[in-house]
Parts: sequence; structure tokens; C-alpha cells
Amino acid sequence: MGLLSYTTKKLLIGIPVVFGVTIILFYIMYSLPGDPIKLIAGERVTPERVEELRRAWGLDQPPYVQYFYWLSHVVRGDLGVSIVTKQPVSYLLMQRLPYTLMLMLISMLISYAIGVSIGIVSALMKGKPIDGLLSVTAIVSYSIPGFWLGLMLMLVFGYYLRLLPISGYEGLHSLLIPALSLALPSSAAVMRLMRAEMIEVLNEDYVRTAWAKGLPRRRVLVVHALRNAVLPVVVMLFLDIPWLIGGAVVIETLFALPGMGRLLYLSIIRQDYAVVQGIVLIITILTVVFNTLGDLVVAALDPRVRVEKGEGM
Amino acid sequence: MNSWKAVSKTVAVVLVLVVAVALIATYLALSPPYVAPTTPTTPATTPTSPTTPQLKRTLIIAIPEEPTGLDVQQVTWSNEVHDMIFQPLVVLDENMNIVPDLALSWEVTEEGTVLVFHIPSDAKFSNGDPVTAEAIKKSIERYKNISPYAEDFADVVEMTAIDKHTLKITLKQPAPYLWSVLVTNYGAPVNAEVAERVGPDVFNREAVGSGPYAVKEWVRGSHVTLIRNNNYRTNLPFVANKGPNPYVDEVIIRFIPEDLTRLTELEAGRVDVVRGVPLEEVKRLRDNPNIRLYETLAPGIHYIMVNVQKTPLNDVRVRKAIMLALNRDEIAQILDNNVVPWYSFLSPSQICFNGTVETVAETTYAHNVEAAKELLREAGWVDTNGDGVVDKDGIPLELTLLSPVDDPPLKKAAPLIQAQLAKVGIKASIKEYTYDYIRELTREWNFELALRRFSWADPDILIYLVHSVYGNYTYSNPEVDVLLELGRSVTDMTERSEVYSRAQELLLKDLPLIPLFVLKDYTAVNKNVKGLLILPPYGTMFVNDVRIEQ
Repeated sequence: MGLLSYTTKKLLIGIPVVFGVTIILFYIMYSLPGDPIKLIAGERVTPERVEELRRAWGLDQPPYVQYFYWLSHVVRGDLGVSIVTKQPVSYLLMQRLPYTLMLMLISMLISYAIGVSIGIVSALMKGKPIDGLLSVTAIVSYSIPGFWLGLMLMLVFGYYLRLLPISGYEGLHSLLIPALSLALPSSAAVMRLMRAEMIEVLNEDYVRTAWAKGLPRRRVLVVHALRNAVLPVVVMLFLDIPWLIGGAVVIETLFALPGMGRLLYLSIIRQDYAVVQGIVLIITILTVVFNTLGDLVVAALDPRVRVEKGEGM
Repeated sequence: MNSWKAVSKTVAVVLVLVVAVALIATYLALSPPYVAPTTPTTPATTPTSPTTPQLKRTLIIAIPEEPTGLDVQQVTWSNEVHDMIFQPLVVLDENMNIVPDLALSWEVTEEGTVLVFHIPSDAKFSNGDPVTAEAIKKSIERYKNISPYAEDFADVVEMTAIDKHTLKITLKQPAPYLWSVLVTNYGAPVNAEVAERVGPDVFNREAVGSGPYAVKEWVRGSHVTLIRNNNYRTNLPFVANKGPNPYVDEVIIRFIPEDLTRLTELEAGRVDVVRGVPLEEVKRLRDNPNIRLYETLAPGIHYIMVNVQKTPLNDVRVRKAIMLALNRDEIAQILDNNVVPWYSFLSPSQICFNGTVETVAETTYAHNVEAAKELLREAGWVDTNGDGVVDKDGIPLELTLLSPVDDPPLKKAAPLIQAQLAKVGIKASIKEYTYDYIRELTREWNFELALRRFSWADPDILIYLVHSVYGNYTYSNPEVDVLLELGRSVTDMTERSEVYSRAQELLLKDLPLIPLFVLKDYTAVNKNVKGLLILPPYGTMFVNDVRIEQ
């Protein structure tokens, strides 16, 4: 059936996307002001030594040579070596990635648990004061910068209540406040979408029919309404990935977590091109994979999508 | 029926996700978590160890930046982690005198071209290998091979181990500036034999030295755990305990980039020592009865670098006018007096500092708007059109001031400097970049005024800023060149100090750099940490006598 070929097609389209992103990034990094060699060489380093280092790192080559050199190694699974720490990029990434993935997963769980449930409640209470209150709360939490929220949560739970660690990784519980700081703003977006979809579906004819058939309330809401309303919300979950990584850069730095986001930030500052390239490559691949997964889930939940796209192409 | 098929697929997808989560969770559980400081470790096995229960046996230090590597011979900047792992032969005491650390004693002979170091016979690296004359020789040879600062030892022509514990270093010419390398962790011996065996990459992760603590574990992006080096011996005159510290079993150095997070950890008592205290928090910390602030003056100055090749800055009268236009007391004030107003080129935390030079400079260039205006008038700059900006041949005196966004005191001072220059009729526009990019622009002579700083205990640092060849910035004065070169070879410290004083006098006439202030470095420490010693020039921490009461 079309599912497998559909998936393959989607992933194949992803490949030029990944390459495109790395080329654009390479160009941006290359045209940025600043010279990584002069950064790694301190104040007391002689000009000859600077040139020697530049040759040693291949940075005297034109940019396209540098890019193809990088690419030819990436294809063989070698992401290069960090110019600052002299360690293999893959080694650095493998140490950092799990923390970031875990942070993202926990924050997604929190975000959807809050967003979906409150969205449903809000939709069912449409027009009542409680709906208004929830909507205002959602807008407020959506507008709060994650950085500030993180600081406040850190002060309350870490400093005053001493319930959770203030910063650093001491076990999974260390990720709770950071994940919450990431999740709250995004849960508001989930809630708004869930509410809108639910309201729309509740007005559909088939739901009215279901009520008319005298089906129990729970069955109408869950089987007939929710299953259809939740579809766009599920898709959003998969599209959220790049946004979450962006948030992780700030949150991981704030909470001193050893994740990839903090490494990305530090590597940009230190002009550690190889590491930045490596991280962006991973983010791009993650994005492509999750987008494909999102499409698949939609296809699985709603056969119409599958058929339409499968035949249209 | 169709819907059932769909549902089963959903279930499959969800299952895959759940498995992924579980996998990652397991992976995380396996990776070493940061150890909470609350669990008291078992008392030390050292015979001298008192089993006083109320002592906390782990010292936790929070620093802003993670080192790029642990091997001090491979990094371009070293920090507290290296201070723990490595032990210099000699260090500076609080009066900038050279005193022994690893070395027992030393002699300088043959008019400064021969250095002889005597090493204690029981000196050992943390892994138990003896620190012999041969081992130190190997370490310095490795430095000359792989360090980005290999030039530091360029004048070393020969090293011979006279016997097992005596090292003779022969120099091409007297090299007094070498001491400022030897007193830092850069100059400390590394176990070159291990380095050779494991290779530079592994050694950069698991470096071995003879410092008070040794690497136990480095969790990237999080912390380094150091364990007491039971082989540690020191000859430091200013510490009471010359062996391993029996009260502190482990030192954990955490990397917390965010200032507020770092200080919150300190105030919550989860961290004992915080380095890199942001200036705007100093006042609040002073009021906290549980925290003690240590203050040292930075070994260098913050200054404006001037492009002396570019009109109108090539006119020394304009540079002098800028010097006079600045009100450094006002600058110190907006920086909450966390800096000392400064008029000359060496700070009190630098070798060869001469207080008289600073006093003279301060009198000559005390803030004086009228004198500044007069100098500008002499140079032909007068405000003819009444717009508040002086002009000459119809061109207004407009300058660009480069301000580093990542240097808080300089960034904060920039608008005030702009306002102070405006008072004498100079219109300065501020451009903000990162510090390193500004350094690059100045290296390319592509600037007018740039806010910069330097930090190095030896006055030889000036050669990299104002010497026409070594520095290769816009300024060139043969007389200054001669003096700075002389400063590299004069061994007698009084004489050497005299050389740098003369060089400073010349610089004060030419003003290729316009001094602004000397920064105070702060370390915030919990009151229950007793016996910690923090010394200039680099605010190095000596933990030899530390005990942490609970």
C-alpha cells in the first residue's frame, strides 16, 4: 500500500532540504564578521603562528572547498573536529543530545497535557465566564518570555521552596522546572488550537446526529468530536520541534544544563563552525523526520489525507 | 472497520514514540548525573584526617565558563580548573614577589641567562609518577611543541637535568618575562610521559599534573569533579598546610553561564564559591551577612585604543584633549565604584608597577574641560557654526567609538565617554560589536577609537600593544620599542621597573592608548568556608587551608 512509498517519498524530499540548510548555514557562517583562528589564538600569539593554525585547520581554502571537504566527511559519518576543544563533533553531540531530547519530550508532555485538557474544557464552556478566564490566562502565559518565567520558577521552586534543584543536572527531576518554562507558553498555543477545533467539530452535523441518536455524552465527545478535533493539534506537536530547540538554547543556558542548545549558543559565540554545523545538521534532520512523522500520523488517523496525496503525486 | 485499522496504526506510532522515550530515559539514567552536595562523603583516609562530623567535605565552586580543555598546554585560556590540577614551580605572593610552590628554591646566574631549579625529592604527580628534573624538562619541551603560546619559551636554548632533582635552564638572553609564565598554571609541569602515552586528545580530557586536586570526572557542559591528590606537596610560604588538604575530599567546579543562576545557587547554599561576580550584584552581595566578598585588582587596565594613523587622531593634541576630557571619577561612579580610575598603563597587580608614574599621570591629566578645549583650539578645531561640535575647514570632529557588548564595564562606560567627549565638542558615535571582533578591527587598523582591555601580570604585555613590530598596531615610536625590548632582558627588578616607568612616560606623551580604569575582580564566598586565600594578580584561589563548616 501507499504508506511505505509515501514515507519514502517524504523522506527523500527531506534530503535536499537538509543539504540546502547546511549550504545556507555555511555561507552565513563564512560571511559573519570575525575570524575563528584569531579567536582561538590569544593575545600573545605571533602572526606566523596564526597563519600556521589557519593552514592546519584548512581555513585558508576558499569556502566551497571547505564546504565540500566537510560534506565528504559528513557522508562518511564524520562531523569533523571542534576547533576550540579539539574533540570530535560527534563525541560532543552524543554527550549533549540526550539531555536536550529529554527536555523536549518532558516539556511536550506537559504542554499537551495542559493544552489539550484545558482546550477541551474551554470549548465545552464556550461563552461562559470560565472560558473567558482560561483564554485570558492562555494569552498571558503565551506572552511571557521563557527566560523570565524560568527565573521565576527557579526562584519559587528552587530557592524559596527548595523542592527542586536550582540548576544543573542531578537527575530527571532537574529537568522539571526547565521543561515547565518551555511548556507553559507553548501549552497556551495548544490550548487555543484545541479549543477552536473542538468548537468547530461540535457544530458538525455528525456530532448533532450522534447527540440525536441518544449516544452517551462521553461517547459523543470522545469518539465523535475529540478524535476529529485532535488531528490538527497532533500535527502541531510534530511541527513544534524546531521551536522547542530554539527555546532549549535559552532555557539550557539559564539552568546550566549540559544540553545541545547550550552547546549551540556557546559554539556560535566561540565561532566553532564545525560544532554549529553539526548541531544544525541534527536539528534539520530532526525537523524533517518529525514533519514526516506528523504527516504519517495524520495519514494514519485520517485515510482521506493518505489517498489524496498518494494519488495526487 | 476502516477506522479500526487507522486506530491500530495510531497505536503503533504511539508505541514507537513511547519506546523512543523509554530508550532515551534509560540512556539518561546511565549517564552520570551531577552529584548533589548534600550527601556527605566518607571521611578521608589520610592519617591526619579529623573525623569532625560538622565539616562539609566537598567544595563546590561555580564559574561562568567551561574550559575548552583540561591540558593547560593546549588551551588558549586557563581557569580555576587548571589551578587545581596543576602546580607552578613558583607563584607570586600578594606583594608581587616570586615565592616557591613546587620548587624548593632556585638560582639565577650568568647575568640572568641560567636558571637553576631545585625540586623536592618527594615531588610526585597525582598519579604517583615522580616529578623529576627530567619530567619538568619534558613538560617544557612539550609546551614548546604544542602550546599556542610556544613562543613563551623561545629563549630557552638548553635544558639539562644536573641530577634527578636539579634542572638547569639556559637562555639565549636574559628573559625576565619568563617568570610571568612560570608563575601561572601555563608554566606548571604536566605529566608529559602520560600525555605522550595517551595522546593529546585524551590528555586534554584527563590531564595529569601535581596540583592539589586531580581530575576524577568531566561531565561536558556541567561540571568537573576533582579528587584530592594525596601526593600533593607545596613550598608555598603563605599557607599553613603544605600537604593534601585533609578537610576537603573533593572539589566540584560547576559551569553556570547565567549570572543570576550562579548567584542564586550561592545564596541557596548549594554552591560555596562563585567566580565572575557581575558588577551590578556586588552591592547586594555586600549586604548579605552569609556571604563574604573577596576583592583583587585586575592585572591590567581598561583603555581606549586610538588609531594614531588616522586624521585627526594623528595629532597628539587631539589625543591629549580626549585624555583631559574624560572624567574618570564619574565613570567609576556609574560602575558602582567597582573600578579604580586610572591614568597610566600598569595596574598595581602587575610586576614593575610604579606608583609615582600613576601619581604624575593623574596630576598631568586630571579632568579639565577647559584645557581640553584649549588643546583642540590649538590644533585648529573650533566650533564655528555653533552646533556644539568643533570643526576645522568645515569638517566637524566626529569619531567612532567601538564598544564591546560582551564586556559589561566597557559597554556601560561607553555612553558616558560619549557624553564627556561631547562636552569638549567631539562628537563620538558608538558602534557595538563583540570584544574579539573589535580586537580584530584594531589589528587591521580599521577603527578610530576602540574600547579594550588587557590582563597579564608582566608588563611585557605592553610590547604586544604598542611595539611597532610585536604589536603591529597603528602606533610606532622607536624609543618605546627600544625600552620594551630592553624590558625583556633586564633581570634586576628595580632596574626593570625603571625601564617600564620610562616607557610609560613616553606613552603618556604620545597617548596611543588612553587609560580609563582598573577593574576590581570579585569572588563571592559563603561565610562557612574558612581559610580560603585569594591572591592577585589573577585572583588565584589557594584551597590548602580550607575547611567548610556546616
